[in-house]
Amino acid sequence: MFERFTGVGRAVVSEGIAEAKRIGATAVGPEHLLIAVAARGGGLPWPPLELSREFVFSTGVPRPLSADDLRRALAEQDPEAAALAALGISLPDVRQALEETFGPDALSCEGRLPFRADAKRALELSLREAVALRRKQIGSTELLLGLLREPSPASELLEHLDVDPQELYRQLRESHARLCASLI
Amino acid sequence: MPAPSELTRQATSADPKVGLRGVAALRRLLEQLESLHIRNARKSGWSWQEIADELGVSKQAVHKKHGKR
Repeated sequence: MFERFTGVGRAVVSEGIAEAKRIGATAVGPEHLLIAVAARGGGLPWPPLELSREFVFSTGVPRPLSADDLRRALAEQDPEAAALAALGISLPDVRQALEETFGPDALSCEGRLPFRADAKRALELSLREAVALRRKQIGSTELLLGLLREPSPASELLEHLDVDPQELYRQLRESHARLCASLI
Repeated sequence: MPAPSELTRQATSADPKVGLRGVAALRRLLEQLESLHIRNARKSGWSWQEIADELGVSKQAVHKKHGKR
């Protein structure tokens, strides 16, 4: 499937895998891919890298969200962290202390992480977005559209930060479609 | 993050779901910590026997679980 991705699209997916590993997840989910999109583009919403600088879109997002905003929100929502907090253990603190001593991969599992079904679904939706927009490949914009398309942990993360994922999808889709049409 | 009083309430919750979820999360953290510290010990030149002694388990047990690296 990854032959359908642009260089940037592929890089974002690998960063998503790295993100999941770094926080000790057992599989890659849409939320990790969303953080990777934000990290790559320097925040959300952002002028997608492979598009022209003139491409600017306005959304209802109150302020640009950085990858760290998303990381924090994810940590707050993490049910495992909540369960440990109930026992008096702060997972973010433990993680931070370990990372300071053992480096950024302290808690990551070894080997390859699988994609969760919802992450596969988001990638499939990205492909559909690319096909609908008559793009030959999936770049970071199509990837983001795929992540916003259906309710998932990625869209929940945005909602947690007071961003309406459907509105973001609609506006991004519209701007991107205009841009793609102008390129044909 | 819940306030301390809320934490106490959750930790002593009679709801099996809350309790079991805490155990599962602890177990996963334990596994991650174990693997990290064993890797670190091996890197520092510790023998399997020394590691097993500290963990309070048999050398065979620790080697079987972590020795494949």
